[in-house]
Amino acid sequence: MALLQISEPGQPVEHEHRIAVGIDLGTTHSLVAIVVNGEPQTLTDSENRPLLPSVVHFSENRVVEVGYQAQQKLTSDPLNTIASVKRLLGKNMAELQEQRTPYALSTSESGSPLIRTIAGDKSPVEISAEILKQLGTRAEQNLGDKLEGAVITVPAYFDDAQRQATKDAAQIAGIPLLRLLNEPTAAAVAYGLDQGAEGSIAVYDLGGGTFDISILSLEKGVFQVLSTGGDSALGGDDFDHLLSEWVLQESGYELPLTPQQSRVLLQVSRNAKEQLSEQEEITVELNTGKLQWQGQLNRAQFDEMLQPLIKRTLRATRKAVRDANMSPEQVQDVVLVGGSTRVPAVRAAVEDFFGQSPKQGIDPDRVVALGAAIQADTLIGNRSGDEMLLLDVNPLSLGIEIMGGMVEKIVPRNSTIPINRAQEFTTYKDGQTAMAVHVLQGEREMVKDCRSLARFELRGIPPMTAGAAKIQVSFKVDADGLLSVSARETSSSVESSVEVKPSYGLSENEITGMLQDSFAHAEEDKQARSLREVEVEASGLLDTLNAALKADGDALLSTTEQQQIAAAMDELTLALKSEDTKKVTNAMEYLNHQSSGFAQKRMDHSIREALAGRDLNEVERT
Amino acid sequence: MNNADNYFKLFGIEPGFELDQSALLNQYRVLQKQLHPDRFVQADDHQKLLAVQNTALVNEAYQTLKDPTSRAEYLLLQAGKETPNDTTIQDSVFLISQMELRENMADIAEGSCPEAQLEKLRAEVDQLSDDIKEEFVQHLNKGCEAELKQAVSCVQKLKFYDKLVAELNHLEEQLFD
Repeated sequence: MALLQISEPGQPVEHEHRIAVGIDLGTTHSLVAIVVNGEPQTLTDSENRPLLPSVVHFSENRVVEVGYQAQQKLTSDPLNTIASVKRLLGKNMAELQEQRTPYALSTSESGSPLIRTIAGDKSPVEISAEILKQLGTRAEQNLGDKLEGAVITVPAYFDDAQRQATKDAAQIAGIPLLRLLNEPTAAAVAYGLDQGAEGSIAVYDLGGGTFDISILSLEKGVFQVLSTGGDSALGGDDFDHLLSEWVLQESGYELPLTPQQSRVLLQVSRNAKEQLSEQEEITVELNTGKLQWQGQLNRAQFDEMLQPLIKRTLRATRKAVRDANMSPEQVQDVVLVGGSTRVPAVRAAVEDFFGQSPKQGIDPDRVVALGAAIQADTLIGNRSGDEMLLLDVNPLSLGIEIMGGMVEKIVPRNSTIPINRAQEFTTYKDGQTAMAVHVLQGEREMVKDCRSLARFELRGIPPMTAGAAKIQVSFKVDADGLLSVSARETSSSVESSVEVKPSYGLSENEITGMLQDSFAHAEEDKQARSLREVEVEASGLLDTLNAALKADGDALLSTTEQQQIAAAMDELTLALKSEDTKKVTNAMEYLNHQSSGFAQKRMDHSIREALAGRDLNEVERT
Repeated sequence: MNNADNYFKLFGIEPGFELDQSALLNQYRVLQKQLHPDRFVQADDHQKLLAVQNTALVNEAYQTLKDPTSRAEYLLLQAGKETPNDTTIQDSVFLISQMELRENMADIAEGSCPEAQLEKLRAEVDQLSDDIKEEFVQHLNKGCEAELKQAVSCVQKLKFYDKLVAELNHLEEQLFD
């Protein structure tokens, strides 16, 4: 398929419309959206509500409730009703304990944290998967067809572990993931395409549990992220906690509260916050069991409480603007995203910082899901590819530990992804035959201040004097922002590599276990499905190659090369008749292998064409 | 990709230190529009991998050419001269001026009008850095061994200024908090 797109740019391939959605997996609520007739729209539940509260309730009889039903059980069954699970995603035990969660925690075999519920121990990944499953079901019921792909959004400031955890959740939910997309980038897409904007945009995204700031440039359909920053543990939930503390202080109630009381207190605080966005002064009332209290609170007091948090967001904003080589006044448009930007003090602070009032327009709760839907529609091939391209960055620097507990940065933050970087290191002692590679993420100089992503060892280095061995450490960040690392001793070619799977993440076995747990598909069903999938893929490959050979075969290939490809194609055609998944897969791999040189030649050919003095405007028009 | 050996060729621009940033950006977008992995989501694994590698190369090339210091370093590399990372600079006049600049920077926080002082120092550093860039171009153009060595030392000096600018940015962040 890709071969065809290269040979005939601009000529859309005839194909059926495929179902791909955008999912905003939020801290407080989640949404699913899809593009219909070129317009993105959010999908609603049976009661016409677009939002799904990100709350999951587990019960004794293994029935799992998600959304509004679960939300109703927050106070009556606080330990089995999980809210704001996104704050726990991709965190290790120590980090989880720091957070004010009311839940009982335990650890899995591999040491990753679990939440104890009446239905067993659940990892934050599994709980997130329940939310994703619910959204997937909503989409399939709405559209009456099987979901073929989804773009799931993550905060731009999510680190590798948090991204990996989101990807794992999609896998467990059985949702085919097309791409992880940064939330502010998604918002910029929805906003940019809606308003036809060009130039520079700042997206200030303050959600329930995360804060992101991204500066983008938007030219001719290319959305290029120039810089990003934020705080993956700062959001509207923190406003609620501040209000709770105030209520406790004013009312004189002593900690510790029961889980139920905590929940009531948080709910009262959240209501107060929301009321203060509309009213200047409100009455806050605690009215549950032993907690009986009433007090007055005005907006000025609340604003005062929020100042330290708002200041933190502005600090990150200033840094992001600086990283984009701009000043606040140079930013042309400011877009607000996330429910917490409804708080007047937040709006005022952003307005003051950029010296302009933020754009109104798309609902800040829905804009991220809408943007994700547009990207999903593009990736699945429903939208002509030349219209839009997103270029995103990695939010945090990546590096390895060197002598003295220091971090040597290999991929600096705000590098456009995908990116490959390699750096050479050497041995410290005479005759050293092994080297530990400790992979870290963060901006600080010392290992202890950065996040540890993975450790692995390169063994079998030939003994040499200190400093003689040359060890090349390569970092690869893919288009989802996920990292893999390998190390190689270059004089002897001893190699060791690791897919960075954070030590507190889930192991492959655990994910497989959860998958088996969550799906009860008969084995036959699965096989039939995978055969069908492979068959479709194989026919597609044959069609594509036929078309490509017809177009460029004689020009780019020798007769022998053409014959080799033709033979491999015959083999695949034969294998297709066998109804044997393995045979088809093998024949397809062989054909891919045989035709890879051809693909490379066509890629080079297309680059040469691009270099032949054409400018972007011309390419747009083709 | 066959163009890996020359980033300038990849972007279809004349090799040299002076460079049209908008032409570079324009061509970067053209290449990304064709090569990005998002264009190959439906393709086979081999093509996907190829797309990631090609895009990574384009990104690397763009970053290298966009930034003046890395562009200068790359031009020297093309001329067969590697810029060592941690060789000490022999130029004592330069070192003394560096020390003075750093002392000025340390004084800013205690000064009466830190913001204005910071901007003044920033302008001063920018000017000094621009002077070195001019010097670099002259040495590079002459091209003989001795001149190239001088050019390498220019790049090392540019790195000093870059570091200083990064520290000024850091200081500014602290001042504003």
